[in-house]
Amino acid sequence: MNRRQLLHRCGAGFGALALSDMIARSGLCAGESAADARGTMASNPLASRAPHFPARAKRVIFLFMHGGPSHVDTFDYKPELIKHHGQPLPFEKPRIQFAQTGNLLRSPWKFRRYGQCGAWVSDLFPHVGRCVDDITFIRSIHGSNEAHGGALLKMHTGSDTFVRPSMGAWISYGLGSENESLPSFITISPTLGHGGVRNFGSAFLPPIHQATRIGSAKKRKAEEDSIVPNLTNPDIPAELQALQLNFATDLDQLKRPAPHSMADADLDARIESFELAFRMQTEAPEVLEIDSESESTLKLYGIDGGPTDSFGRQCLLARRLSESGVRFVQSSHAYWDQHSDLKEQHGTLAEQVDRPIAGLLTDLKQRGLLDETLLIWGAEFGRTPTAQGDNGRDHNPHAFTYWMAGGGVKAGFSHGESDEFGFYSTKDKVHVHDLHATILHLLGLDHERLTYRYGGRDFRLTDVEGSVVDQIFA
Amino acid sequence: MCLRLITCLIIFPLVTSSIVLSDDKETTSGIDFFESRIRPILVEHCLECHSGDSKILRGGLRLDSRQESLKGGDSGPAVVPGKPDDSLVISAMKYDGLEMPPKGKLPDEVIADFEMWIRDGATDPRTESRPAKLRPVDWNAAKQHWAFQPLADPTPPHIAGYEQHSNPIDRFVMQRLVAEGFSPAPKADKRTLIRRATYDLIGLPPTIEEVRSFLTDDSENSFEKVVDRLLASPHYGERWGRYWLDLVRYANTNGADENHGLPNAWRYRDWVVRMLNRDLPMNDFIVHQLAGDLLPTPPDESSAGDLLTATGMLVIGPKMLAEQDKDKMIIDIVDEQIDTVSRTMLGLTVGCARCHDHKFDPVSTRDYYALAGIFYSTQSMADRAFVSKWMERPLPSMDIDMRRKAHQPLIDQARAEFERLKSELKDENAEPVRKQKEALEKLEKEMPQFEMVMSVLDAQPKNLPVHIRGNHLAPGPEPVPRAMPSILTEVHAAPSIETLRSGRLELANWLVSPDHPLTTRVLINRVWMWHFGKPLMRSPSNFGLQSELPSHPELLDWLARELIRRKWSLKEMHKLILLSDTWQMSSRASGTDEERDPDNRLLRRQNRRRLEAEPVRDSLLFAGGELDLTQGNIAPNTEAKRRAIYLPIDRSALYEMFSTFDYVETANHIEQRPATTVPQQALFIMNSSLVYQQSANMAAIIVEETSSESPEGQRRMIKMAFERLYSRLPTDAEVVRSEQFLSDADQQLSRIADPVARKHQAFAGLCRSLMAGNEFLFVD
Repeated sequence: MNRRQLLHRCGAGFGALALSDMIARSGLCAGESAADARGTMASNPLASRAPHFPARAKRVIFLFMHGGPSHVDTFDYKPELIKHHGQPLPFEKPRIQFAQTGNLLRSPWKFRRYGQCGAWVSDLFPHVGRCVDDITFIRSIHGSNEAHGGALLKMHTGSDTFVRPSMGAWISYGLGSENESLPSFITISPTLGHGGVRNFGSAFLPPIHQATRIGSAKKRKAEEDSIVPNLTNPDIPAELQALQLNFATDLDQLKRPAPHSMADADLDARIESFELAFRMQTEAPEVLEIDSESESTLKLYGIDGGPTDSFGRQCLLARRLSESGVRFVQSSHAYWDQHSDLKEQHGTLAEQVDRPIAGLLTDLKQRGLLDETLLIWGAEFGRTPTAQGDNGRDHNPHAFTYWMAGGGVKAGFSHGESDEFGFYSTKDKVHVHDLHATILHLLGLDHERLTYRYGGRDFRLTDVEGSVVDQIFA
Repeated sequence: MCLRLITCLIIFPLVTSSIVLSDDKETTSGIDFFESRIRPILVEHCLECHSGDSKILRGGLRLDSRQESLKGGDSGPAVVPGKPDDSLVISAMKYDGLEMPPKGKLPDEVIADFEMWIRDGATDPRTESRPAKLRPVDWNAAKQHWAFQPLADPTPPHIAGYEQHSNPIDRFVMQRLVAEGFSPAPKADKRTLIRRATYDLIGLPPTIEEVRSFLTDDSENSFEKVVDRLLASPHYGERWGRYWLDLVRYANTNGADENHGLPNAWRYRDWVVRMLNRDLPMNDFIVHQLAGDLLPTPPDESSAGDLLTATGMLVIGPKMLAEQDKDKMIIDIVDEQIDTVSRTMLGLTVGCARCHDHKFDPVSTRDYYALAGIFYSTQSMADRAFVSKWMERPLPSMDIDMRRKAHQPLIDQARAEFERLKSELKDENAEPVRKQKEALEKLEKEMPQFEMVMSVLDAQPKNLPVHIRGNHLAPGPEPVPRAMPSILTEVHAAPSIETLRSGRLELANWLVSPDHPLTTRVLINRVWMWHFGKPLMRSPSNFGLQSELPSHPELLDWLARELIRRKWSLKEMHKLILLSDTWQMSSRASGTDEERDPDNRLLRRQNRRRLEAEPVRDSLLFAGGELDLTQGNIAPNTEAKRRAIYLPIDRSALYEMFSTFDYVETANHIEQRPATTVPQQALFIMNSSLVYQQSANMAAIIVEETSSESPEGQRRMIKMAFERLYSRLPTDAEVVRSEQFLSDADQQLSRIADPVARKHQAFAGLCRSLMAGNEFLFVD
């Protein structure tokens, strides 16, 4: 007997269903739990799946700095750049450059050492600086595309040539969702340009794995933000809706009296999907209610109406979603593309994110979530150590920095190096594909086994590339 | 890191000693040297990617035997004994061009060892050469592949006891059913048939009048009349055109990196709709899209314009407009065109052979670049600007041309006057000069403009060399002559391509020649899929070696030949199929048969089908009486009430309703839309403003038509709602349950004081419930 039949036998229906769920969740009733109900969902593509091997991280929060913050002004300290300021780069520049650059430009910011590990961080990120003992820096990331669109797609989907599923979609496909009332992949304030939804799309994977968007870089009105489209309709009272759904279910039964043959599976699944949708209506909006958090938490994230308010909210929302079991949460911040005006703009942008990011890391740690949450910070590329104009830097996909925390990576650690000026990745190079392979590995997924058959062959996030950087594993 | 450190420590003293002993040939050329200095490095740093055991062999290079090292990979010999400077292994280790190993340069001492080893003859005792893991495609066997064989010419079988089946389709289907001990499902009832046929051919539900008129028509050919009416409907092209648009990745914005609008893409879409409505023979339909611009220009403007518009198919794909490596941008566009055309027309994934010979199919990189040459010799981009612009061409118009010619003298005059004033007054800012400048600019703006279409142009023809590993910076030694895939030309000869032509027209004509083994099979298999929900051959865009046999191979070939016999008329094929008993069977499942044939491969019954995003949306607006049936051009936004095919498709921000109902991929060829069942769809039906609005509209229409307050009046309303949404009347039990809902809802809504408003609300709730029903979303 499945859940639906059970409910019908009890003479209950949609209204009662929500009620019984609330009771179950409040611990008043030892009846079937939400997890049991998932087992009865016919063909639920978001059902939680076991990883290939024991996972170090259960979920990911990816803080994406759209535009490309300069690594040599943030987390990749280059004393040689100061020494050789104003001199030409002593080796060849890449064949393809986005814009022409001149001589070496020293960082306008001071660097200092933080923590036990003594990692160098510039004065753009003092709050993050104080967290370095929880962080692994990878200073040898490199990609291949020098324009934003291509580089964003490469970073998010592994391909700047073909239409491929996003990393989050692959992870959703690989692991399913921990919470069936929420989407498994959510992207907060994504850009609609530079590849737009393709960066968060499912391509040939089942569409359920594409990201749900909350807000966009263009418009971020709270009232338009919904965790799931069509979650509510204020013109339809919940009681009326319960009546409607019971009525629709009964009509279906009248038309198709049991027993049902296997050919009816699609129709049965559809009836069940209404049950799930009904439950989502009540559960999903709660997660969005940031203001229910304590004063001290809001303060930690810099939610105080000042410059840190907006990204602070994004970070706090990311934590709430992640905590509720959303597998992959991306939170984007823009727009770090300082071809000119580097000093002023990077300063403004860093101020907006530094405290919220440190707040998020601290909060995850305090709540004991950091162990199972992989926090990732990075962008589509870094910037050139050579100057564009006298106060700007061009795109640089040949070397840039990512950092990670929690989720099974070492604390207070650094991996890889770029050259003495930060133009090219030189030591322990980590390509974007390697980064993907490593992230999947931390989640217990073998990037060579996580495949999907489409158009006659098996596809992977890492295509035919990628090797796991196990040196950073704790 | 630790390992590398240890290696350095061990090697360093050895290196020192080897320098001392470097005169001793025995030491540097001998096996000992190889074993102690070379092999460990190869094992640790190279063989993971360069051996027969590698999961993926990089650069085609194996370094696991002497023979393989000498042979080398894509870039040439890795080791040239005696010549370290010519050995790629050395330059790669020095990070000179190639950079190996990729994770970091090895110590100079190690490189010096390798140089010494090679200079002294590259002694290498490893002779065993294990075969690589993946076996190469057997081209001889591939020639026997079913889909590459010429079309058979089967005679429809005669089945004892089924002589009444005059339609050949039924005889092929019956043959397998009888052989496997099944009997066909009974014919569907008339209401089911007209609903099925109407959605099938025009993507809309039948009107109540159309249903009633069909039910009362007792003539023998009553259904044929329905089919003829639907095929003549201008909405036919809107339904079947949409299928084609899926194959050729139609959209109204670029997507990719820069999501520029494609303001003229809709003209191509309208061309597809118009040509299908006109029943343009499918061979011409294909040729026009690939090479319409190369056909002789027809005398009338609109036909000439159509031929240009058709080639928009090649241009509407997503492009990396801001890719700064413009050579890469161009070759990526060529690749995108090859992928779309080969999967759509040939049912082959030729795109797989861009970087390496196809792993499963007999398509080599030479084949790929032979085809790529054709598209490379075709200009799809107008420029190579920082953010590049795709090709558009003016639609021929004598009228606009004449108006332009008439307008030009006005501009010339104004400009002359401007120049005169400027030189006379010697001050650009003087009042008369400024005024004249404004007048000139106004006139220039008023110049009548041609309408533009996305189209292509033959460029300077050029043969491309194989790009090693798909890298445009690593061209192979010689250009590959432009040609069609060789395995297919062995089955079905292709014309050679003249030096001065791109070869697009030759490709198009070759595709549609009646003896081509793939084009008609691929096409008719799709047509079957669009009529039955499932194709005869289950991978409709991959007829390669991995494809399985069709469920009914003879039927597939017979249909392919029939298409040619009927002069490539799609409408005749539709009629043939819809008038078959096979198509008209009930979709009802029968218990034990389902277990023996769970996918209904044998066509025991018709398949029940979930409506796609477009008919779902159109049906909702239709039910609410708001569907705007205007044809052509583009709707301003997704809120418009036009049919879904006219809504703008933004690749970077797809209309939520479309993606919720599985129309997701706007940048790639879609061979078949998935039909998922996800709670987001349920939420759309429960809460979306579209459903809310249309249910309210529908309630208003019905309440207005049935003014009576009596119970009979209410029952009449219930019947109307069922008929409007399900094309049938409710059963007594359904009426009773509906009445109960209305009374429950009335109570629930007691806060609404006005009884009319309350009744209206309750009835809208009833309509929404019916819209939520499976019967609304599925076609039996």
